[in-house]
Amino acid sequence: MFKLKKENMKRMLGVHGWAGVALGLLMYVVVLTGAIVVFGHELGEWSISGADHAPLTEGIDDNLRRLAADVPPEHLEDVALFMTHEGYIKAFFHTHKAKDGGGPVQDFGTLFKFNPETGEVVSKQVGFSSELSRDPSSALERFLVLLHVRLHVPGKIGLYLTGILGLVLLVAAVSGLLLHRHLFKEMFLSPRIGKNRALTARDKHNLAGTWGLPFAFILAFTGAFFSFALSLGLPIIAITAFEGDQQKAVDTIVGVPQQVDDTPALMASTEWLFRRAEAKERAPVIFATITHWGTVDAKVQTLHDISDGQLYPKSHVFSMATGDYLGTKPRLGKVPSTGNALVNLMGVLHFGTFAGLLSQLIWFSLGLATCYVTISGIRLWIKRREEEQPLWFFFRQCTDYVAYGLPIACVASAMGFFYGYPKANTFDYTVNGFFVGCLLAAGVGLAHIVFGRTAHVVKTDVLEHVRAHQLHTVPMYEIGLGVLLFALPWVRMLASGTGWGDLFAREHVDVIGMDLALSVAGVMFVYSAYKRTRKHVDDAALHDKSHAVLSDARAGNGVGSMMRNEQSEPAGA
Amino acid sequence: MNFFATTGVIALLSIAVSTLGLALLTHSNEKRRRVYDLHDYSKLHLRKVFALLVCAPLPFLLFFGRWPALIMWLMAICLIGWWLAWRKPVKLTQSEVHSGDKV
Repeated sequence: MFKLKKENMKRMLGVHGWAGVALGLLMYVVVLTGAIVVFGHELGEWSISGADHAPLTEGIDDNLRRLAADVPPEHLEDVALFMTHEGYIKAFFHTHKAKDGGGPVQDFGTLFKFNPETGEVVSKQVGFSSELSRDPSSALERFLVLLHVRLHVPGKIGLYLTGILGLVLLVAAVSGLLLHRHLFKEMFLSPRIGKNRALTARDKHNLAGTWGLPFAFILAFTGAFFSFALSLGLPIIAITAFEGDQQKAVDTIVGVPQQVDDTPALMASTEWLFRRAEAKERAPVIFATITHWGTVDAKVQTLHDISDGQLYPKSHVFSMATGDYLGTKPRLGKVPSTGNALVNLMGVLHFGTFAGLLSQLIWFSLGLATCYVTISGIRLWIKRREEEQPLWFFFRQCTDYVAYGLPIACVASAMGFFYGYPKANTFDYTVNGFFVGCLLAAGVGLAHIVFGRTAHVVKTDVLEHVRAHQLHTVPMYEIGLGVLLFALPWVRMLASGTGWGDLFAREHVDVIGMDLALSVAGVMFVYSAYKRTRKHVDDAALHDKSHAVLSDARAGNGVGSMMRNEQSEPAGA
Repeated sequence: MNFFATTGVIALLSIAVSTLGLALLTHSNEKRRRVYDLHDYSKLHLRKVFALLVCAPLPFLLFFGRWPALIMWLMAICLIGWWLAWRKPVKLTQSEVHSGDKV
């Protein structure tokens, strides 16, 4: 497609390869966890064996009025309402202020967690939003989301890092596009399957990369945008247009009104307003904010699930004092704009949750395809150098370790969550589970490095045999991952005591679906390991046989004997 | 809302039409057939029709403003195209597989 000079081609290959090798493994971590968190909400509900919650509209008004009377007046400036996975409602009555020692402005207030049916307050906390304890039921989802968004690196550095990784993916995609001279001619050509494994691997990488290009562009651009928008874009806007006042910049971008009338007024029913919003949007309310509670300027703003045919959710605004409908509220600014539409579109393209299960499945599969392209690319790069420079051997082990170790650690983190859930300490156990998974995978990798390197140096037949047949790492990782994935639904059932019969009765087919998907994935990994090992053993046997024939020929039996041996081999051996 | 007018159904129908087009394009791809020593299809001149079949849902989705279905369709054809191209031609036998080494 693009004709580059030979020198430029070499340079471009260098950019493509080194970009992948330098940051490819981190990119893989971000992309794989991104693919998993496409199902983040479903994962959250599955992790607590399905939530039996009523809609946010049920039983909220009386509880809200009761709780509003129980907080300091300054905390009535803003109220955020949302539902937990367990079916409780969280109401955060708060104001905005900086800590005593200075620093950025944060939400400070009273957080209630209550049962909407009985009105029982389960917990009450007062403090800054960053210091309030999180909901234990969201630990697994939150852990995976933070791993994707900032690799658990604190502060803005994590966002910078994932932003850079997005740009690296963009560089790899552009250089890959320029490198592929026959993109359209070869996009329907299946990988050549022959004795030259490197060629087959390159074909597979090229094919997956070609078809995955549009998604890689979208993912890289939108991912980099979301990482840099808050960490870099907002401070720059604040410095250039708001004299460094970030809060003022946020208020202007979001469209927060500056003048507020504090005259007391009676509040309309929240439930009534929510129902009207749901009727307009034809989708349930999933999040709401109420500003300036108890004043004539009090407004409720609803955020809805995405209704069929829509790309992104709309927000509706009502006056709490009069009950009047005030219109829709764009995500950015006060009136609809191109900038708002573009930001919404970027969200749609990045998250892939806009059309339910079908769009989630497509985004998940494309995410896995991008992971495949990343790992296969790194392996190709290493393969060409491994024989000459032994250091690449270790990097190859690292690649296999990260490629399989990450999913193993994610499954282990889910197991940790199940262990910690009855103890109400899911956050610690989820992290611990992840590290146990990392150690498990590292054990497999280290065993291979130790035995593999020893065999490489000593070159004894026994160790070569161990290296070639028994300690081939990828099947071992696959078996480990397969077994853990298959075991995960059973661990969930044992930990929660909720079997499929109970889930059927409570109409939680999604949880059963997730159990089945995990089990099938587990079986597929074990089968893949079996197939891979079988092929490896067959190839080794063929190699041994041809080696014996050659030795026989060298020993003096002549070429005729060698040919006779070849002819006597069964077809397809 | 009419079940047949839901985003999921429209997206699936569009994907099905394009999958058919992609399958035919893959099957009739000259280089693919040449590499695997299959009968030459180049005289049929149907490749443009197959390509049009792949793109057929696009004007409908654009005209009726079915944006979620459009985005899903675009992404899904990348996935399905990859899967179809990955597969070896049906007629290929085990002994023919190794002819790939000649390429």
